[in-house]
Amino acid sequence: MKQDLKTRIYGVLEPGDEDSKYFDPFIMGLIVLNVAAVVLETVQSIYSAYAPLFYAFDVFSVAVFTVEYILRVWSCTVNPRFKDPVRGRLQFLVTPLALVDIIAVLPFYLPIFFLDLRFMRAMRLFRLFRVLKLARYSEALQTFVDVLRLKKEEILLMFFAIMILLVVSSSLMYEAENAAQPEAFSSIPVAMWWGIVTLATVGYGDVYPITLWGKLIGSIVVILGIGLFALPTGVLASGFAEVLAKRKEDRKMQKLRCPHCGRYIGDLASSAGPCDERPEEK
Amino acid sequence: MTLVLVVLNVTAVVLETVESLYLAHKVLFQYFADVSVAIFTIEYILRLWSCDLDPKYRHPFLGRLRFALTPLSLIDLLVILPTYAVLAFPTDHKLLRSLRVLWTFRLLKLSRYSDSLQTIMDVIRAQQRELAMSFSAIIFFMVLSSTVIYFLEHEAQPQRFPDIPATMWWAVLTMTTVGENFYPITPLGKLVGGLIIILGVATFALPTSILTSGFVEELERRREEKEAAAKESLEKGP
Repeated sequence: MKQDLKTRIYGVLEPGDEDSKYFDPFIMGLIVLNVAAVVLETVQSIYSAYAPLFYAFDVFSVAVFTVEYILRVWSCTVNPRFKDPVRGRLQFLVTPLALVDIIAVLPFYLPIFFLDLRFMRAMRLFRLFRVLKLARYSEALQTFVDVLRLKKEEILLMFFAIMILLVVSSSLMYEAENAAQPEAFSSIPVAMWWGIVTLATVGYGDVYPITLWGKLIGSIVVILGIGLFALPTGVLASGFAEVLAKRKEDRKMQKLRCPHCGRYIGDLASSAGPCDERPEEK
Repeated sequence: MTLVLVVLNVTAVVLETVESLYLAHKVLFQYFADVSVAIFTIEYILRLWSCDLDPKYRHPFLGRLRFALTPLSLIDLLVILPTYAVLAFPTDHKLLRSLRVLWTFRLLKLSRYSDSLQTIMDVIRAQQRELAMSFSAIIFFMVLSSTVIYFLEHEAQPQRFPDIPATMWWAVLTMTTVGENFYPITPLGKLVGGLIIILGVATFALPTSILTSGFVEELERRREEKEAAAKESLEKGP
C-alpha cells in the first residue's frame, strides 16, 4: 500500500504523465507568477503598495516548492536509476534539476541563519532560479537545450574564435587609444567592452576611438568582426532547423501504422514490442 | 476597386495626422471618410448576405454567425465600427480618439487581396510552434539577463536602472542591437553585459532565421505545386 502511494506520487510529480495533468499546469503557473513577483517587487511604487501580499505569496510558494522537493526526494526511489534508499537518493540530489529545486527555495530559509541584510538582498536574486524549474515542463526550453547539445562543438569553436578576435582587437585598440583617452581605454579588459559592444553592432557610443590609428584599426576590426559575431546566430539557426525537422519527422512517424499489424510505429518502438506478423523475408 | 479604396483610406489616415494638411483640407478628408465607410458598410452587408453560397456557411443563421466571426469579417467590421460609434456617442471625445486607432485596421483589409500578405500568414501559421518556442526562449533569456543586470547596476545607476521592468527595456534595446545611450558602467555589469550581448544577439535572431527557413520552404512548396500542375496538364494533352 505504501509502495503504491509512493509510485502514485512519483507519477504525479514527473511531468508529462496522465497523473500529472493538473499538477503540471499548477506548478508552471506558480513558477511564472513567482518570476513576475520578483520582477515587479523591484518597482518601488508597486512594492510599497502591496508589500504584505508579495510576502504572503513568497511564503506560499516556498511552502509548495518545499513540499514538492521533499516528496520528490522521498519518491525518487521508484525510478530504477535511484533505487538505493540512501545512495540513490544522494545521486538524485545532485542531478541538475534537483539542484535547481533546492537553490530556488534556499534563499528563503538562509536569512534565518544569517542575519546580514545585504547578503539577504543578494540572495533574492536566486529566487529567479525558480524559472529554471520550468525547464522540466517546457518543450521550448527542452528544444533550446537540445540545440545547444547538438551544436556544442561548433558553438565552442565560435566562442573561441570570437574571444581571440576580441582579445587581439582590444589589445590593439588599447595600444592605439590609451595615450589619447586614458579614461575610456584604461586597460585591455576595459577596451574589451568597446570590442564586444562594437562587434555585436550594439554601439552604445560610450567609448569610441578618436585617434587616426584607433579609427583605422577600429574600421578593420569591425569589418572582419561583424561576420564572425554573426556566425553563432547562423549555427543556432541551423541547429534549431535540424532539431525541429527531426521532431516533425518523429511526429509523422508516430502517426504511421505498421503495414502488417496495423499498430502505430511509435507504440511499436516504445513498449508494445516488435511486430511479430512480419512476412518471411525472401 | 475596393483595393484602391483601401490604399487611399490608409493614406488618408496617415496624412490626416499632419496638422497643416488636415487644416487645409479638413472638409475633403471628412467627405472621403464618410463615402468610404458607406462603401465598406455596403460591402460588409453584401458579404454577410451572400456568404451562405459557400457550403461552409450554408446555414442561414448559424452559418452567417460563423462567417461573421472569421478574422477577415471581424476586420471588416472593426473598420466601419468607429464611425458608427461616433454617431452613437457624439460627445464622448475620449472614446472617439481611442477608436481612431481602429482605422488603421483598414490596412488589414488588404490581406484579402494581396498574395504576399497571404504568404506571410501561411509561413507564420506553418511555423507557429517554432516561433512560439523561440519567443519563449527570448522572454526567458530577457527576464534572466535583466534581473542579473538590475542587481549589478541598480546601486551605481538608480536613475537608469530603477527596477527590473526598466532594465528589460535595456535588454531589448541591447539584444536587438539598437543600442540606445543606456548601458552598464560597473566592471561586473560590463562583464556580464558583454556575455549577455554575445549570447542574446543570437537568441533574438532566432525568429528571423525560423521565418527565413519557413519562407524558403513555402516558396519551394509553391514552385513544386506549380510544376506538378504544369506536368499534369502536359500529360493530359489537348
